[in-house]
Amino acid sequence: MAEPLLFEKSVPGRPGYQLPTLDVPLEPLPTDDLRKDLELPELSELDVVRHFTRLSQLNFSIDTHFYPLGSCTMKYNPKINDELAGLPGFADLHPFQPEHQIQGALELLVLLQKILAEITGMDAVSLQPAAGAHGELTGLIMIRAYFRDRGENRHIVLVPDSAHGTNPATAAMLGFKVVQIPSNARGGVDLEALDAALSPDVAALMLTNPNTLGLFDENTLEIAKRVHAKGGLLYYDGANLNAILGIARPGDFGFDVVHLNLHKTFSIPHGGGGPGAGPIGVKAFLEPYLPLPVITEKKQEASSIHYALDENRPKSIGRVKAYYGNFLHLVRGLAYTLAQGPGGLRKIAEISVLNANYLMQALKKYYDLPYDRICKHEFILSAKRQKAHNVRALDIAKRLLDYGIHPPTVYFPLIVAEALMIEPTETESKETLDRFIEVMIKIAEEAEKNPELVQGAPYSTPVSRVDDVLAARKPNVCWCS
Amino acid sequence: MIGATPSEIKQMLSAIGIGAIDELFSDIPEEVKLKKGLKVPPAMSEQELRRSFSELAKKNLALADQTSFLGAGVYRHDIPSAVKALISRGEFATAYTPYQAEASQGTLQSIYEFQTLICKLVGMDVANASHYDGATSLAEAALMALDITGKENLLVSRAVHPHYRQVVGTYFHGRNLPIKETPLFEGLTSTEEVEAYLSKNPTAALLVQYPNFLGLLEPLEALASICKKHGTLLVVAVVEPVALGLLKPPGERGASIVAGEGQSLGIPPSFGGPHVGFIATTKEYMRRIPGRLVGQTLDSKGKLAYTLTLQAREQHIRREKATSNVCTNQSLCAVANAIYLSLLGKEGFKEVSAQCYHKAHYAFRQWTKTGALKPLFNAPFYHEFVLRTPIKASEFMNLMEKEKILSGYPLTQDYPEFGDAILLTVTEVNRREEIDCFTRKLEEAPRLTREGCLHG
Repeated sequence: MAEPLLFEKSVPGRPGYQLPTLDVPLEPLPTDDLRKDLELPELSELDVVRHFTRLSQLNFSIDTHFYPLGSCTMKYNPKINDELAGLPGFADLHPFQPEHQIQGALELLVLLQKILAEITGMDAVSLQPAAGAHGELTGLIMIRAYFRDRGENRHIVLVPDSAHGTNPATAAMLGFKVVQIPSNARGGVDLEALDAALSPDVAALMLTNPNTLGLFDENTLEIAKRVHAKGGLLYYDGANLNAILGIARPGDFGFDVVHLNLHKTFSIPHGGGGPGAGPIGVKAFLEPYLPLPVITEKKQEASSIHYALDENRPKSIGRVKAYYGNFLHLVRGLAYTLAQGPGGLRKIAEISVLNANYLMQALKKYYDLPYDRICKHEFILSAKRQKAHNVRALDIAKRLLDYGIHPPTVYFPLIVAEALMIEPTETESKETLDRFIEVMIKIAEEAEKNPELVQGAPYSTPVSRVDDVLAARKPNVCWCS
Repeated sequence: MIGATPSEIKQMLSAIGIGAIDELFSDIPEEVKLKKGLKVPPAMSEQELRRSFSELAKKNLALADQTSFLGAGVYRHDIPSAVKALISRGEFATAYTPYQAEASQGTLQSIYEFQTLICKLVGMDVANASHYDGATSLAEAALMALDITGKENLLVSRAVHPHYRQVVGTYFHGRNLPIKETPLFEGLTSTEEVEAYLSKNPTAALLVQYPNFLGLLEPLEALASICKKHGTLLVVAVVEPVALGLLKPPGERGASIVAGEGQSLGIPPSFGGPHVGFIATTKEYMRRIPGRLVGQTLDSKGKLAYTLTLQAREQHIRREKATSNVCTNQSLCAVANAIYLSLLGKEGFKEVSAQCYHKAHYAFRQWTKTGALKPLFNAPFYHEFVLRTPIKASEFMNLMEKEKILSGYPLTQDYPEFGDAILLTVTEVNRREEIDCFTRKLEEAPRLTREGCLHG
């Protein structure tokens, strides 16, 4: 059943690829620089195709399974987007081709920038960052550059205790001091604690809204007012934008910088952990600081537009990634957005929120619901009740695998004990939601009547519960013959 | 793309106990709710999308529609069909990050194989599960060197890819950390300048590229021994890993960290992304490496299994104390690298690497023989080289473009000290006819052979 490693399947002398015969004379090789040996496997094309096809079959994926995975927005990834990203005019394009050879690519990027600016209510967008955390890094470097220009040395970044781990990690990576703000009883930012933390040293508050509890912070305008009153800026972590698409915009709440996760809200496939794409949007006063390059439009005669790459921007923070962002993902993101139109975008928010509330109402009898109020696109259950039977959130997660459902995010946010963070997305059918409800109720029963069954799960996956402690104690991260 | 039908929506509303969807948004302040639809283009069907994107794509000139000698960090290599066929499988493409190991053995084992293949290629003990791209990998490797050495200065060779240098600069300026560029001598990182700087300034790392941005083979051993003397780590960027099919890996030449780009290994140029970076190092620094790592372990029944490991380094566990903020790897691109390397295999990969070398050297010989283009450097090169153009580099490139030849990367902007010069790249996909055709164009343009005559 287990698939051997490539190296174990290798047979000396077995080719998997053929090149055309070399059509130029041999040249002398740099003898001092030659490598002695190269340990790569030797396999036929069929060997390789079977190996990776079999490996793929050991995975859960959206195409095969339901993924109610909170804060990750595992919606269906339309296949047309992959087809369009594969067009030779996009995939077979070099980033250093002359400007007149890449006009279509630049036009596409400008269109996506405008659409994302409209969706978020921001004035300018950069598509450079490769992922959400990279967008955070870019945004915070811009914020630092802005304050430096103003002669202000603000060295603190405020982060709510419900924030994604990337928020404090990004701030710390840039040498900011991270100050955590506690949540109030309704799951929002505690305003008194915020007031106490605000000072002329605070550069920014990083906020996810709806937050990682799946709750919209009703004080969002008040929070913005108070942070701005002390001269600080507001950073919007767009991980949960799905819930408010076409309903409201972070720019209108007062946020100065936002990042989006195209691999969440805009249906780019997650790829088993990446690549992603994390564009950022900013208000006009931050536009001069955007990373390089910025695309400009110049009207030419006959109403045609020439797109150019502007590298000459003295206030820019510089380059954050080679070339122009994860371009093919930007093609996918644009295709997805254009397929929705204004009505479709709003519908995404409406149905993702409807689906989440439907699940929450059905499950709150069986699991603890720490915040019993309307949720947005996701909600948090706690397995506290099940823990009384020695069944933890992790056990429930693993048991779900036996029912063919990918588990919710567990143990996050950190402020809820035994958290199960559930996000169904708008693309799932009611049958799927109903089956999930049924399975979750069944597992709650199992936890009570037969806890060992749940504790020992999973039983039906290619491997049983994996020993993470052993993996970390004796790390084996590279196969050596 | 909506799962529920109108009647199901009604059923769900009634199960929740509300009358209309709007009630689910009552927590959003009225004054910021959009009263009208977003000003975005109206919805398009799949047919319309296909038509409209094809039109946009046609406004670009694909590499396949011209002769290209353009590389400079992004390379054209042949990609076996099986690579795309396999990574397009939904089980790989639409899977989540493998936090649930039992449901992700396919991704995990593939990444473990990727890590192993990268280690073998660059001659290191540990490689991470990939990173955004080569440039950001180099920046993260530099931060890693700071963390290891406890020193703050950074020395970067001027022969590192300009975008890479700029990205490292952004990461470091963002943190107010000092960074210094070290000059070149005949296209190579000057060992004397490095020695002079390191002997005066405690420095965390020296960053060089191998082969360097100008295509030349840096004297890694010499640089490594200078670094060692001063307690500085040698960080080597590998932007063209295909070179390592032929060349001694940086791990055997004294590198402490190798930060690389895997685009060459089965990923199309893609207008610059997604590509895939990696960071590899020795066992000693394994726990300092940023980003995901996959390890082998056992399941509860003693069966071999794979899982994300040493996660205590990462942001979702350590938050502000993590080694990096990174929360993504380029997983699917890393799988493409693994598939590419296993399809080509030991002999195929060596052969691709050797063909690039031979074709580039043949081209160099033919093109310089015409006298129209003159070599700038004498050091050994791999598959890229710098030539001086007889007229303005941009004018030369325009002339060649009229012949449907993309004649390289102009260096005028990044290296004004070279005068009018271009960086040309030849890989295994360039046929001899293309190389010879370019030679003829150089010969046929008599004005090119007399320096400067086009300026008047």
